[in-house]
Amino acid sequence: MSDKILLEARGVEKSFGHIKVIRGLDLKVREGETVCIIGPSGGGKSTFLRCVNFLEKIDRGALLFKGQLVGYSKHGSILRDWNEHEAASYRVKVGMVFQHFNLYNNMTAGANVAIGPRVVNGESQGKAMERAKILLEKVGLIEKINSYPSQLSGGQQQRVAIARALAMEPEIMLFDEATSALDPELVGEVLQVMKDLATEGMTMLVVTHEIGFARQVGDTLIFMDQGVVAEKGDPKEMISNPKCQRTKEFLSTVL
Amino acid sequence: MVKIKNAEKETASGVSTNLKYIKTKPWGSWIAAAILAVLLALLLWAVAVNPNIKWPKLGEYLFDKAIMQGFSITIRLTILSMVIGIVLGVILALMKLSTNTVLRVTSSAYIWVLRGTPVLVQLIFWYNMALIFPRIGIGSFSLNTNHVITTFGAAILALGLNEGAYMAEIVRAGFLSVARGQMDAALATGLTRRQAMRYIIIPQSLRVIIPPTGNQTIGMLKTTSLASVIAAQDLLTVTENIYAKTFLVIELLIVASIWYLVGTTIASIGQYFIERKFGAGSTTTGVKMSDFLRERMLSSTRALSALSYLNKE
Repeated sequence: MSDKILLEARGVEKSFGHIKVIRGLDLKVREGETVCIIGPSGGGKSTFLRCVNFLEKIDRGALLFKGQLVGYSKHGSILRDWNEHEAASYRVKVGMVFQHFNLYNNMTAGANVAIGPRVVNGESQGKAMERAKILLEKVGLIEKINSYPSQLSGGQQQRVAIARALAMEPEIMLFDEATSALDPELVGEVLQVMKDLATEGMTMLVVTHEIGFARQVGDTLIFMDQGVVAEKGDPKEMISNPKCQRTKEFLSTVL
Repeated sequence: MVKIKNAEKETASGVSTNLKYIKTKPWGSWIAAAILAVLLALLLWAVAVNPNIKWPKLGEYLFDKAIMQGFSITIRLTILSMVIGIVLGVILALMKLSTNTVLRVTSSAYIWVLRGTPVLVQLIFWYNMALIFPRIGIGSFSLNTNHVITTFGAAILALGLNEGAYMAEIVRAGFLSVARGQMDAALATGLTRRQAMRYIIIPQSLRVIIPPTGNQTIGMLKTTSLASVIAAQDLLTVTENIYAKTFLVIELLIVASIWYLVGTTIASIGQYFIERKFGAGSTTTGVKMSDFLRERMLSSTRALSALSYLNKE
């Protein structure tokens, strides 16, 4: 893990209508670091990830990716909103894995992985499929390359979704409760893939309910509640000895 | 009638079982079917021997040259109006789902007016366009409206523009049927909205869009007959022209009906194959005859099995 900061949130706020979901969030993610975010539902965790990927726009504060503002481009002294293409090329660098997998239902597992490189990077069908094969091999699903999402189990779908995100060669991976929709016996296979990624040095921001994963794999643990970072620290220390009262209460309900 | 006789047996508890299974008979269905069959036969007989219907004339006009030309105009009207309707429907649907308020309101207003007035009225409007705009064109270049909008042109415009309003709603429903997460995932991968629509959303929405579009096409084939009021030379126009001269009203209406039925039947078969190709799961298939017979046969097997288990320890 280097000391270079890849992603930084400064005073981020986000509301939906009158409901303030994020209220002044500060956070730093260093290159190669695995940051896990835990906390009660409705605490703004998923919304924050969607903001990081620019699927939602933040209302106040700033998001910085490699020191550059997310959502704006600088032209001399003028600041402009990103156009669609600038947003798309930013999202290429930020991979995202969703709670409900969201695999493209009209495509095979292989095509799901290959479509991004093919359409966005203009790779040939053959080259994109080669890449898909390598990535499906990596998540242990090469034999499912021609299966449609409806023919795969939840765990398999989520592993294909991880391969799909990796196909764009992102610099950071966002996991939005990647195992919450899975049957208990399928959680392990997905966590294993995530663990391997972290070991390889991928920068990861992981919203999760898997306290075990956070303790074992996370470099930093963040407890998020009511739209702010309530406590932050070393995962092992924080889980065994939480300082914040709300962290204590939350951990006692999930452990 | 199947009876399953069971030899008298003594069970361990000493209760004797001498049971006979008699299948439930669907008396109601049989009576209804018999009544209907008689009524149908009476109706057919009344029509077949009716001296007011000259059956040989019907055969004479079935493949009449004018009728064939009329049928061909009807088919062309149907195809062209549906093409206009589908293209317009996609554009209107995209406008209605746009974030741009002007586009959204324009689309809604179009659908409101075109769907809210009778297509017959719209047809006559287009036919009489020259009364409002005698000449159409840009600047010094203009043409006589009646030369540009012929009766065939007026029919296509009226039917196609009207169909656009209906197709817009069908296409919009199709787009909305695709789960929200599909767009999220596509954007997160780095696709633009346009690319996501093309590769992910539209292909998935076809499954929902195609069945009602087939229905619309079949409906359009029949709706084109309205164009006879502006003498568009479609099947009904030529049919009316012939019976106005020959007074063979019923015979020619039967001829026209046969050709409309041929058209809609072919369209239905086409729809079946297209739906199967796109894996449409939204059509309900009726109970198949083979299912019905299997169910009848199974009832004996089931009863036998129940009996044998009843007699088991």
